[in-house]
Amino acid sequence: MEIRQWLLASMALIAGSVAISISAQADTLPEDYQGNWYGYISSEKVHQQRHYYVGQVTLTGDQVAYDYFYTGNKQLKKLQWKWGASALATYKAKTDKQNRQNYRIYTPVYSDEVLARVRLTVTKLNGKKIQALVLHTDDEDLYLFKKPTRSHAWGFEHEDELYIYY
Amino acid sequence: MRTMKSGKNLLLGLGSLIFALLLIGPRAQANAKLPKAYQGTWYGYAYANRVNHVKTYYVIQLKITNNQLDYNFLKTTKPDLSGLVWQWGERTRVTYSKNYRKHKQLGYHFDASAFNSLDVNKMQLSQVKVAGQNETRLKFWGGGGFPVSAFRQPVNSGDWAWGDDYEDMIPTDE
Repeated sequence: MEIRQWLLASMALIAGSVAISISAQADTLPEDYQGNWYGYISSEKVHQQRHYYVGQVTLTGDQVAYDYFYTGNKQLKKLQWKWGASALATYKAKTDKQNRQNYRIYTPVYSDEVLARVRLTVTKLNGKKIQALVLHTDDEDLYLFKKPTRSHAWGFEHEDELYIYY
Repeated sequence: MRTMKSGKNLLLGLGSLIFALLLIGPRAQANAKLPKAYQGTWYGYAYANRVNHVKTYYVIQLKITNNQLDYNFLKTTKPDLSGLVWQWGERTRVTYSKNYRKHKQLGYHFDASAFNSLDVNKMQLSQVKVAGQNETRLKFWGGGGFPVSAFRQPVNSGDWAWGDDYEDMIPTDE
């Protein structure tokens, strides 16, 4: 009888710890990661006019979005929206090999795979220190800033980097 | 008084000029204005599966305006498709042109400038019977995709199911 009770108790304990580890899977994305981030993609000539392309990543506590813009303005003002995608998101904190804090993004689009991971860093822009969000997908580091800037260009090959959509 | 009046006239003149420019502006891009009857929210029933022994239903929500097409993927565990929860979505700028079919029936061709290809690119309104009731149907087809139907309310019926291939009606990969 005692053995049976002990078994039941330990089973309950195992069940409880499994439940806890499942609920502990998601982490809260810190405030300084949240908001709009802009990455400069590239430019090209369209009908004698130069077009500049900008990707915007929006992170909130429970959503991730990617929006694609273009503008004829060199300073990247008056961005014209072309398309976008968004999804429910959960985050998981993890330190990378260099011991930097990263957040992995998971969406229901590809439930088992990590969409991308992000980390905050400080980089130099025109001699000034500025905070940047590094988006890491497929062994590629893409830089995003709080304001659109023609620096750290991604290149057209990375304009579809976030697979939020099918 | 006189200067004030002419100033007002000038403002009115400017106003109508801007208005005229606004009218011409979008028209230079879009071939046709999409009728109100097409615009708004539509639902297509996708499919159902079991997630951890719970039957889950998936619904595609389309939001159509004169210059934008939104595609949203929703799910619910209720068979009447109530309590839909948004999962993810895609949206794009879009232009329309008139598309006449057999018997001069008017439909619309749509062109999402941001993407190279859409699985479907034509749509037309019609009336069909759903569970004995007349419903307005928005049918999509063309562009290599198979025809699908959307309704003003989600309809849980295998007859109108899009299947799981239609998660990617708007592929963003070029």
